Amino acid sequence: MRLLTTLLLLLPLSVFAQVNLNTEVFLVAPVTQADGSVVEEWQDAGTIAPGDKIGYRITYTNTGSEAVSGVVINNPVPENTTYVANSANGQASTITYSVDGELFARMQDLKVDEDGQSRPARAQDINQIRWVLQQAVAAGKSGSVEFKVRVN
Amino acid sequence: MNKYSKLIAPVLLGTLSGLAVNVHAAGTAAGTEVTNTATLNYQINGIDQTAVTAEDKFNVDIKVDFDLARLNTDANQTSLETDNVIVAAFVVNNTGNAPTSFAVAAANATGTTVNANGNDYTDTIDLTGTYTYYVDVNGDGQLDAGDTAITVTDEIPADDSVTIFVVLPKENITGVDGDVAITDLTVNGVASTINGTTYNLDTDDNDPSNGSTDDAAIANGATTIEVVYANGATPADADNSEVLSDVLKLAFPNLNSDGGVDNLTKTSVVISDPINGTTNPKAIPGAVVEYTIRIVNTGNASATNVIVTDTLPTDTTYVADSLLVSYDDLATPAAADAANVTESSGVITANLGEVAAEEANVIVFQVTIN
Repeated sequence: MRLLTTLLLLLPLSVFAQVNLNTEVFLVAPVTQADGSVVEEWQDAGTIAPGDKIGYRITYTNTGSEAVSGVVINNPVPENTTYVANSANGQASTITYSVDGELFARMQDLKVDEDGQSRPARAQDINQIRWVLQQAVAAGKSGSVEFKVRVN
Repeated sequence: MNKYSKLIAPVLLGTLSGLAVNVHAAGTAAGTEVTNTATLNYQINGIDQTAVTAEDKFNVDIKVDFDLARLNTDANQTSLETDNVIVAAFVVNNTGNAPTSFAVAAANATGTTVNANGNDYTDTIDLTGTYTYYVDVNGDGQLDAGDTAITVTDEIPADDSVTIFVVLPKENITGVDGDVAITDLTVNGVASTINGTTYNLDTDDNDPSNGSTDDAAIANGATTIEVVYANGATPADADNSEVLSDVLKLAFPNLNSDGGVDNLTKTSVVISDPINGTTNPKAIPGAVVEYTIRIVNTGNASATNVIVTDTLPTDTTYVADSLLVSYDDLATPAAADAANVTESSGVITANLGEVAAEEANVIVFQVTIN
């Protein structure tokens, strides 16, 4: 009976949500390749300690039967982590950032007030990232965006 | 901007509901849950739909990292005056992100050289016996009655430190002034307790192939807590062990005239005589003779309660108020010290008090030849 109630409560959401969203965390580790070059690998996030670089991948899937447009993904930088400069990615999307959660702009246009002076924002000032998809997502299609942070 | 203004509300909510900020120089505290929340807004046929959110969590793992430092930058010194002698004293700094207990072990070193405060100390004597380790409970850098003997410390909070004294009974220390005893110290992390669960640390490293059965057995997962050994200068030598050598130097005062060194000397010179005055004076009756007594401490420790006495030669008479003293090794002392350096009935008594290591005192006085 309780199970049924729970299902009924969940029903309205699942009926209307046409997009499935998923976020995963990875440990981003430099791995020396056979040829001596060092490549960042996204590994299972089993062991994460302060100072480690981690990657977040946010995957969206249009599970409905109609195209989805105006897709905007917002992701605050998690507490106890610091955004890694230039690490936000996303195909066919416009990426903007915010230092206060209100004003979003391109990185080079963001300013921070410090001691009464305005200075360009740095990566560690960023507290939110926004991806605006430039095109609609057709039914059944999916895509992903990602960014990296360092654990404080 | 207006186009997305409706997004501000959920965004602010996400920020405000975040976890409490936990700032450590050593990094985010072990066990801290870090949550990422993504929100997606979209439209169908131009009509706004209910936003969808996704969340992912991980817990910050235990980062074992610590270093050791000598409590005294230079050598510890002893005159073996106390029953228990501190042969090494050092500070364990927990630079990891978890409260961690540490095991301490000391061992006698033989023949090694340690540089402390720019001085090279080469081990000359061996220490024997059983070491006792004391935690400096009140943190005053001194071994007190309230300090507790341990083999494993309590868990030291992240970013905190503890001072440990390594102590031997003085019977186990035999040597002469200037002898050096070097003690090697090894410290291992033992355990960390996070949210009520105690995680035992490897005494060696985190490599399961070496037979470790403790932390390596913890399931590896984002929301479980594992142990990372970050100790060491580079990741390659990351381990759970830190070593340090500390120096004990035996220091005794030495006022004796031995070993070819005259630590107490007395010289005389004729100042004047009644015939020649001060020009090429001779030791004839009525001549004034000046005596200089110098005492030097060639040991490594201060000598205390130093008293020099000198009986005037027969057939001489002390020249009133001629007694001068220098506590700074001046060849010609200029000051009297009537309280401590006196003449009475033909006996000079100099109460010099403390003569520091490698320092000298000089006393001069004059007599006339009867």
